[in-house]
Amino acid sequence: MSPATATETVWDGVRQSYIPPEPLRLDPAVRLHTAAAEEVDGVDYEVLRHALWNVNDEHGVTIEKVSGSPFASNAHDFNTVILTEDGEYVFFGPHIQYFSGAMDMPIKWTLENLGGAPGIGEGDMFLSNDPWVGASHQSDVQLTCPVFWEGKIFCWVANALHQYDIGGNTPGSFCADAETVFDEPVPIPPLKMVEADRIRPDLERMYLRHSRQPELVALDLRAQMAGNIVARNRIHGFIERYGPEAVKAVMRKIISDGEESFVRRLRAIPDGTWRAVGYLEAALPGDRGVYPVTMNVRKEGEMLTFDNRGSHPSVGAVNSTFSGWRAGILCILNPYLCYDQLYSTGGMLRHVRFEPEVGTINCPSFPASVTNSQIGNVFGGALANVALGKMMLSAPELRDEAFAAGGGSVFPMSAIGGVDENGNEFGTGFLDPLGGAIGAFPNRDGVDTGGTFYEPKSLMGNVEQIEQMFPVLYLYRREQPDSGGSGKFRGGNGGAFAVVPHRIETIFHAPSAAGCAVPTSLGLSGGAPACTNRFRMLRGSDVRHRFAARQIPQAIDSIDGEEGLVEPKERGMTQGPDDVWEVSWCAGGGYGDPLEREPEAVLADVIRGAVSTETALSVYGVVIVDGDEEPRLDAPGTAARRDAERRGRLERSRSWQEIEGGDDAGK
Amino acid sequence: MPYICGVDIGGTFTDCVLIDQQGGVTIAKTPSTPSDFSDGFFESLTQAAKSRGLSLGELMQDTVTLSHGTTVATNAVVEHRGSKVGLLTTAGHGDAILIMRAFGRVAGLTPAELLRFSAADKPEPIVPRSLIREVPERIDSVGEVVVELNEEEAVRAIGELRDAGVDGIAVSLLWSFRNPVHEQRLRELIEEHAPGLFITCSNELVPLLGEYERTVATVLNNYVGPITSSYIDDIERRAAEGSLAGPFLLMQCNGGLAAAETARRSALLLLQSGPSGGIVGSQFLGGLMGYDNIIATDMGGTTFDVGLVHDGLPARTSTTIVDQYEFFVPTIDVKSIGAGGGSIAWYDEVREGLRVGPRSAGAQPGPVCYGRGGTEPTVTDADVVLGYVDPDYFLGGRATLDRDAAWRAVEGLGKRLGLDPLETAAGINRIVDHNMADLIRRETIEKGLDPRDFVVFTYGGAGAGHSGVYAAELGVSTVVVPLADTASVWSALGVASSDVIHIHQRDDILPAPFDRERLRASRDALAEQTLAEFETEGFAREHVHLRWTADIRHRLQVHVVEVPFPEGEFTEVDVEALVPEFTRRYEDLYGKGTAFTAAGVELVTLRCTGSATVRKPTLSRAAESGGEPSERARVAPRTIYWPELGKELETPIFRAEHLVPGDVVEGPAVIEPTVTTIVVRPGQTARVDELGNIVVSLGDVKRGDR
Repeated sequence: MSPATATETVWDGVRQSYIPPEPLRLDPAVRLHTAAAEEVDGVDYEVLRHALWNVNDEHGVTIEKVSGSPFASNAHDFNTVILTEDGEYVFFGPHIQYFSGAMDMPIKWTLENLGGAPGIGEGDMFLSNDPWVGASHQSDVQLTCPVFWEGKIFCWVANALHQYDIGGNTPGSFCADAETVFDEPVPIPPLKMVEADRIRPDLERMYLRHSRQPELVALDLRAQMAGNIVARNRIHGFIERYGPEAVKAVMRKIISDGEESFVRRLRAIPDGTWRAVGYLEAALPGDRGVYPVTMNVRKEGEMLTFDNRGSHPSVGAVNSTFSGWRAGILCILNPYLCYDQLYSTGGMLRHVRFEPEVGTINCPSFPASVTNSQIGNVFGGALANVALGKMMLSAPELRDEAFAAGGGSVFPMSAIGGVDENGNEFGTGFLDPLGGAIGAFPNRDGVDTGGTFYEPKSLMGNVEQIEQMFPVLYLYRREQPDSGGSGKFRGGNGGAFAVVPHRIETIFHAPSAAGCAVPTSLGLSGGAPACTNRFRMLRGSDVRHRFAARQIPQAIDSIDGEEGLVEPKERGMTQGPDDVWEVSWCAGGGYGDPLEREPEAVLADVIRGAVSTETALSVYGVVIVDGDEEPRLDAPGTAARRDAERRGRLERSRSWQEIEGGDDAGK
Repeated sequence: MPYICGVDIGGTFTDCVLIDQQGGVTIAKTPSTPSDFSDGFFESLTQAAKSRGLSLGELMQDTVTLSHGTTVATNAVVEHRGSKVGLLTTAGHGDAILIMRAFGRVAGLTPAELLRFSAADKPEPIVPRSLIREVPERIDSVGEVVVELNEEEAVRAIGELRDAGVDGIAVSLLWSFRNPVHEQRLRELIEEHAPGLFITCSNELVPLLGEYERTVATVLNNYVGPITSSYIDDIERRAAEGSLAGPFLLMQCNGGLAAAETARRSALLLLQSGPSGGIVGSQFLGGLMGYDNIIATDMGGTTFDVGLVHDGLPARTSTTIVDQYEFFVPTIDVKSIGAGGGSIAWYDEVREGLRVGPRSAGAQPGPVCYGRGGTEPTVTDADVVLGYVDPDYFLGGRATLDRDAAWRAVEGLGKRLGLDPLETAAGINRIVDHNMADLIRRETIEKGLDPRDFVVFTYGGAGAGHSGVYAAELGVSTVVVPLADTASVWSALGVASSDVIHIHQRDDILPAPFDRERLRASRDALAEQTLAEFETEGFAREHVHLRWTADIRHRLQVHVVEVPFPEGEFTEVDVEALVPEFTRRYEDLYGKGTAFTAAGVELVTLRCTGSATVRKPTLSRAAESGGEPSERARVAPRTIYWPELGKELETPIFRAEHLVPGDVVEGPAVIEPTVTTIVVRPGQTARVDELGNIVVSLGDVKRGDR
């Protein structure tokens, strides 16, 4: 950002995103418990460090069990977090990482804005989902809980949990055609939903009034509250046992150890700037535009600086706010540079700067449409994954931690709703794409359907769990051969599933995605990007006749019917009893040149069904004899084919001048 | 004289326990024989027989029950030596076992492992894609057939698997537990077109919702089935040669024994059955001592296992993880961490601090003090440095330990920490003790149970040296070291004291108020299935005890709480009582006011646990006398460092074999049975009870070991 805009922009969470000042402007009524022991016993430290990490885990297990939502129970679409008294991160929980990465902001905002009235008291909890204050998007509702000791705020525990529906013009709250936030779920800045450990009935009624599924949202609110109570009680237990100053000293040391480790790793990296550029398409239903998104990371000394210069101005319904952009970056900073610090993020953040350009697709001003922020959040993370990956490759001791972008680089949200055979309204989103895929590493292949980079404990529901709750029948759910990006090391393959309505006539669909036209899971060091996301609807199919003939079609292309175009964002789309809906999700990017892949590894992939014989030949230059017997390698044929391919590359090559027309020449 | 025999095979030793009619216990410990475990099995029996002046054949003729715990199934999985399995599944869903719900990349890993993407990967497939066949057929969520079984396709698939040389076929179809008709037909087709193959159908093994976990269970059953069968055959044959008088029974992971025939069919239940024996033994002994709530802890060389006995029954779970594969199996809930005598202490460069484990020196090279080439200090080395373990009385004096080497290794580590060797050794112990306490905490407090309502049972080679700390950490007031010497062969005793148990369950969602007719029909079907199984094993119906539980949840919720029916007949009053009991248990777990009863309540799973008592050992009780240990029990005092006192003390040492019931030992002191060390910490008191257990009262504990 230019110095001029920097002075004009007010980062207060109203028109522009909230960026907390340092230090915070606390209301005098806020009393923080800051005292920490000068020294902490090494063993106490080791014990409490694990115990605090376990608090997040236990907090999450509680949410998973109390929540009724398949989002929480079957797919862990939530996360937990512990922060210090003034909102500095201690630990992230192990679930959806960008939920945690957006949670310090509403806490700091609360400390700044609510300390006087209504006040922050013992047993209070604050609910929020305002993306300009700091939420990943409106559906990911946050509940933050101050933990008091001796009348002062000792620390915070908090969680965010994806709600199936909290309003807006579209069931499921992914409002693909929202032109502004006024078409969307109401963004709620932090408000005191729980007072002295009791849910405020007036506020709860207002909150539930927004939802098409108020019972589920009410149950989830209790799950979020129960999670916070469990976490708070555990921390109180530590304080009683070890004393507040020892516990606080442990928190401080967790953060400073994280900082030290991060700085030590930064020192191994040469100064420089790394960039990744990707594209999001279809800002609104019917739009055919493609919009650049840029992630720049600059490493100077002991500081990493991220900016989004080069990103498109905010447009349609593909924007994500600053807090989501920053949280997306944290999704990958933790596994890359903080993996042995149990994702203690606070110390790392002391050495990370964010310089967003206002009015962009990833830092839009109010009242831009932002309810599809989940697209931009994870895509920003995926671009940071690649930009930082390049940076890591420049440091020999860090390079093996890098990996290419993977499944979920943009999540193909497929929300459905309708009325079931008993006349009850139903609604859900298919979270199968959380099965994801992990991108390739510099020394090994990625992981087929290995989950997403933003959730270390990825989980997808069983088909039986989904069919039990919703009136759909799966024709198939499988891994997709050839979907992972090629390379010396192959990106993990993703998957696809297809469903038909079951026992009902109609399902309403509200798909919302990007990454359908342009691949979003980029490779590293010449590795190819993975396949794109894809929605398909085959209308008037013969699938019921096939059932009667004791067949279950196993590929949408093998079914008779009429295929219409499904855009990445649709509204008002329905599926009839003979229509087949298929979603396939983007996979993992590759690493390195596919011509350098060991031919035996390609053969093994072919035998396993992960790579087709055609791709082995056309992409990897590996000739596989695939007759009646077990496929085998044609070694001389492969050598010849690869030689020819390399010669062809040289013949096709152009100079930098020719490519860039001299613009960037010399850079 | 009739004997009850228990044999338990572990990784290193095969343990044998004989119990005679008077309750006299004879033990034997012989090396395990991995090339053919049945050799070690009979060797341990031979040794035990010899102690009683009998030949193996004579012992067999006098044995009324021969019970056995074996790791043969677990080893087959861990070492990837299982049989070649083909899988038949519903068209479109053959990849479920490969996708592993995506969670397979990290299932069962520690936090440090799962947070590092570069280090985590899925395991090798237990059934490769080339041996998975998808069969056109489809049943829906209410059990209705949507697509009839395509038998021509099925026969073709069976033929392909047969020609590929599979040892057996696992059959796991979507929704088969709602309607097993297609799985049943596939079994017939396999028997017809590929006779002689080992077959497992998912609806027979684990009729539960969740195709991934059900399919893994089905495949694993097939994977270990043939190996387990032939092992059982070997033992049965050799036992029959010796004219074994009574039945041969095998320990299952559910904590009960099963007849050999059942174990052959449901080999899955032998997986991870290892720790069951110890927990059932604790339950049995706890029953004699009047303890209903027990935290059973087993600290060996490499791992620390924890299981609970609550209200007199072992805590159970319905899924477990092996090699990152999660699967359904009704099992005793045992959790492990890498913490044992062999756990290595090391210096963490990044955090500049001391850490312990999870890496272990194992049996080879072992701790530094073993003098077998180990160079990194371990927990056992710390115990030697502090003086808890007598280097000259290791294994009852059959081996000596190199204290100087242990001292040097600990000293080397301490230099990096700026600590002297004693402080370093104390720090090593504190960390490992806290890690163990942390696991217990997760298994008690985090499940809504207060550890102060429990006693700790401690066994395994290293347990009694550390239990005084990890039990105190949790506020537990009593630690029991069972039957002193028997603690080292505790699992074998547990195996000998187990009941025969079979568990059957069925998923069938019933909203409250429950449809009694449907519930009664489910109950009758499950009871019949369970009783029939016992009948094939030779147990008359009137000797089988049935216990009932139901998994209940709020409508809209996925997770369930298991609620027991009151003992006795399954009546309509019991059914009424289920909902309030569910709400009570739910709020115990998640806090008052968190139950969302407005959503309604539904019963998800009905479960029947049948048990039949074989022949329980009786243990002899001696009158308590004395109070003051005899001079014979006292050996020369030793200098021991007590961190809680911050100093070294000349500490009294007692030989367990010369303590008699009623003897009291005040801490600080050390009691030495032949194969373990019992540390009685300052402020704690040990007493020998009438059964010969050493019961340690921890007294008023405030800050654990501080």
